[in-house]
Amino acid sequence: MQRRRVVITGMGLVTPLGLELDSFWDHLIAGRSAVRRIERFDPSSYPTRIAAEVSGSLLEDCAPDLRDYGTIARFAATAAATAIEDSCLLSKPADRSRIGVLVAAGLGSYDHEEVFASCASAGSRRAGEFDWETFAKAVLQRLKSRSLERRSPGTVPSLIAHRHGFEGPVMTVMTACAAGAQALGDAARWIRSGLADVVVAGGSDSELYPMGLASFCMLGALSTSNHDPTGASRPFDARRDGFVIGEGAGISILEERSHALKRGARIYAEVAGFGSACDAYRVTDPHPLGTGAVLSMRRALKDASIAAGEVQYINAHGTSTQANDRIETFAIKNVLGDAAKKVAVSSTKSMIGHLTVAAGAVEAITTALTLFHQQIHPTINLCDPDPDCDLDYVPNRPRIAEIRHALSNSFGFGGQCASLLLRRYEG
Amino acid sequence: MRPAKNEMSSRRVAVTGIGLLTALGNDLNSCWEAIRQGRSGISRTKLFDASGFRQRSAAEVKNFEPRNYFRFTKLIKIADRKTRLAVAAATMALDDAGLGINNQPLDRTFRAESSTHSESLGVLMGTGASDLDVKDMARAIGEDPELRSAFDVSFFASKVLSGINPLWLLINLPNMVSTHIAIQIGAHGPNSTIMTDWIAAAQAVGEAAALIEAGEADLMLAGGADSSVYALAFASCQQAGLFDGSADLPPFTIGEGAAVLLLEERDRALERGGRIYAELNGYSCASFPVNSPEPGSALEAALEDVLQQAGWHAANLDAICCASVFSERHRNAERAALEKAFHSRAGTLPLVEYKSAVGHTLAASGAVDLALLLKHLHAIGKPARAVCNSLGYLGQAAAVAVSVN
Amino acid sequence: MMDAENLQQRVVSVVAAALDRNPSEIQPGHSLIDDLGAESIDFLDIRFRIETEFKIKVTDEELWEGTLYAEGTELISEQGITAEGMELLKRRMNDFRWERFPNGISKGDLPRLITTRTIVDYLKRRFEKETVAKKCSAEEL
Repeated sequence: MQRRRVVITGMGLVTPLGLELDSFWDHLIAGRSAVRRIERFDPSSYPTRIAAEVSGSLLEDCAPDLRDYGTIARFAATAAATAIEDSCLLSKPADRSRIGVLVAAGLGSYDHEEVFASCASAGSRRAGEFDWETFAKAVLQRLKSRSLERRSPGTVPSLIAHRHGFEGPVMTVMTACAAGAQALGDAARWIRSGLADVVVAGGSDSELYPMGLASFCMLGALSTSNHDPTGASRPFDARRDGFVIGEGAGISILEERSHALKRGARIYAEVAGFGSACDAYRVTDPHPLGTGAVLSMRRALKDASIAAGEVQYINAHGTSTQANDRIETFAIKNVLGDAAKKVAVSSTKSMIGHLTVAAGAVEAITTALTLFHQQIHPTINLCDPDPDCDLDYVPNRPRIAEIRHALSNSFGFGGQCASLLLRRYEG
Repeated sequence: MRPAKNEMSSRRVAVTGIGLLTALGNDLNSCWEAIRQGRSGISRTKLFDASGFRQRSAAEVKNFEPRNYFRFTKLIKIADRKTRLAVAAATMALDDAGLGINNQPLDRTFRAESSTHSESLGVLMGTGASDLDVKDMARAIGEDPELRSAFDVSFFASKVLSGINPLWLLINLPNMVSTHIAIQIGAHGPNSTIMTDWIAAAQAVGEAAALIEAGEADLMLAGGADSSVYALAFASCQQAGLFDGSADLPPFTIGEGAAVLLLEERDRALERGGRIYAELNGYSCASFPVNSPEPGSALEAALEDVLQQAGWHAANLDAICCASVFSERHRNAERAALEKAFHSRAGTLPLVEYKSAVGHTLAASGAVDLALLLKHLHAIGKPARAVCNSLGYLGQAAAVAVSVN
Repeated sequence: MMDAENLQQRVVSVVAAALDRNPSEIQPGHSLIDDLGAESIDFLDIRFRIETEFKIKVTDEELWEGTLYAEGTELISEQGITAEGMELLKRRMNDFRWERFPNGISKGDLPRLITTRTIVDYLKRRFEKETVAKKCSAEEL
């Protein structure tokens, strides 16, 4: 039995470089950084005071009717609506029981005020003694509406399904910074196995709230180049000093190929393979041999039945931390062998920062656009090469190239690794 | 509609190990024994003082010692309660299958030059949100009678950055439930975490089975772990009206627990002479607004799909495990779905349920139910077939079909 | 001012708790990474526990780089530890297993030199300074 093939027929974004697919791509090709001083709240007591934010006015426009559900749900719903419109999926009657929603989400879904005012109340009541009853009282008083739904990342795909009347499967995946890619990989499998014909799939995240930023600062994971925001995210550069937090959402419409052809849909690219693996090593340190990364890339190649030498482009995880960029480079060389010398690698995070749970979903869209336009966006801020990072990272200038197969890597805290293999659509 | 399973794939999925911890006991057999005796695990909360809430009871796991299960005990310090329970259940599932760390037949080594993943062991767990460790937050914030920490970010950050455990994020990241299992046992296979509310664990089992059928893994540790006995969870449930109760039903009671099944490609299991508890014959999920005029439609669709996949007739089931015990809205939806999918009155169906004894283990419930359902099928003493339902707060539905020989 | 032995004991018990070891296993010459299995997050954890135990605030740079910068000698070049630096370190850390570094010590290897003594030395310097400062202000009065 021939395997059902999966294509991308629509894409929608919320990113620090805007909400429009075309201008987002133009900005990436132009090498524009979205990193600047944080405006959402006063960052002055944090060691890191920069981020790639979705601007306040754009946030206002994102599904304002979902305000009760929090930023992550609003980003996801906005990107989903754009993607659905972009795909023209609903311009003709569709069997909505065959349309599913699969979204990566799972952090940052609580309200600062309701949690911390309650903590302060309960902690301050008797000197040094935390009082659960006071906490209960304070939190019940302060809870904003729909806190149960807001606290559960499981809500996000259901909201999207309900808004558009989809009745197929819904699922939320959470593999930290690998989750966006994991969602697309699982969605492709749903279509291949026949669980659905169309899946609205991607990821959404915003860690730009007081505790979110604090939690990453405390781990020492973030760049502290506050004096030079646009130069702070510098993947593969010798002077990289940590990642820069970004936020947003990326949603793609994955569709069974014949379903898409029947309705005459425009096809951006084909999802040809996916691989998931785990370092099973440590909680934050990557395995020194890049075990998880090697296995996820290999599995994606195998899933797509192509050889390592057939990959022309890799959209790297490329976070701008010392360890990731070194180990990812090592892993790519392991998987591609001699072909690693020819492959072009670039990091979208050099411009929009690290969209954490949404990163893989937005970078998959970037990778699809790379195949669609046959053009590679640069890795910006790559000025001072690191001897351990010796691949072709397309430094600072975009490039026109013939690309048939592209990998997109995403790795998360805990060691979960996901690699997507996208193919130029050739019929 | 999808074709039946045997037309799709020649690879079949067996359950060869089970690990379970609930309020009724810290292993599968003690939980099942308690169910048989009709015991309940519900009592006044001990994990935190719930006096301020309408519901003050929960079904808590008791006398749990993570050191008995962690190989690298250093990591206990960054594993929250649900992660500890998850590691314990996964360890027991492997041991139960005769594949435990000390039995060593699994290939746990990574070979950089290897290009096959047929030996790989994956992990797929369903779980819920984390407790945010509010007590530690309060300690870090300290004296704050004007509640400045709620609106003055600069003040808040100065307190938190220097006052709380710097590993806070790692403790509260929900995907750690799956990755800690992988780290403890050295599992390099596919690894993911599912957070679709109360159907998360059923999906984890179903999706893991799909990975084995597709040939992406031979062995998967799949299930769920959740521990929502903490103040923020109670507050959200109370606000959502779940603690309001209804005349005919027991009050909504949160349970904690973890259930992990070792799923194994059937031929592989037979070859190594592993004991086969059951076979997974189908999995499906769907969504429909729970407040809609036809609230059971999603579950009905999922049930019809699993029966189709399994190639079973509705009348031939030996048990149906119900998902909804406490909430009237969800119970009515489930009843409607059952009656439509099975063309019979609910009262005539072989229904079983476990939540009134182990509480609603939320994101873990699909796997907790499944583990107990398998014991039930074995107790029947002849080949038996069953489906296990899961229903999410927002109307998400999943169904898993299982059989024992 | 606390006595040196007491300080050593308290540091060892903090490190033992963070790394889930028995305090009696921990020798002054043990590398936290190579002998005691510390990973990067453990350094954050140990710093936090030291802060709590001694009621101080300390940055990662101050706490961990003590071994190398203690005497104001520039021991590190682009390539790693200089020959002069090696000599000094070997004298100071005679119970450390130097055979682990047959090809010298690169910059990336530096965290592997951290032992409980690194922490003890830092705290000693810090508390001595504080005692001197207190004395001075007392004399001024």
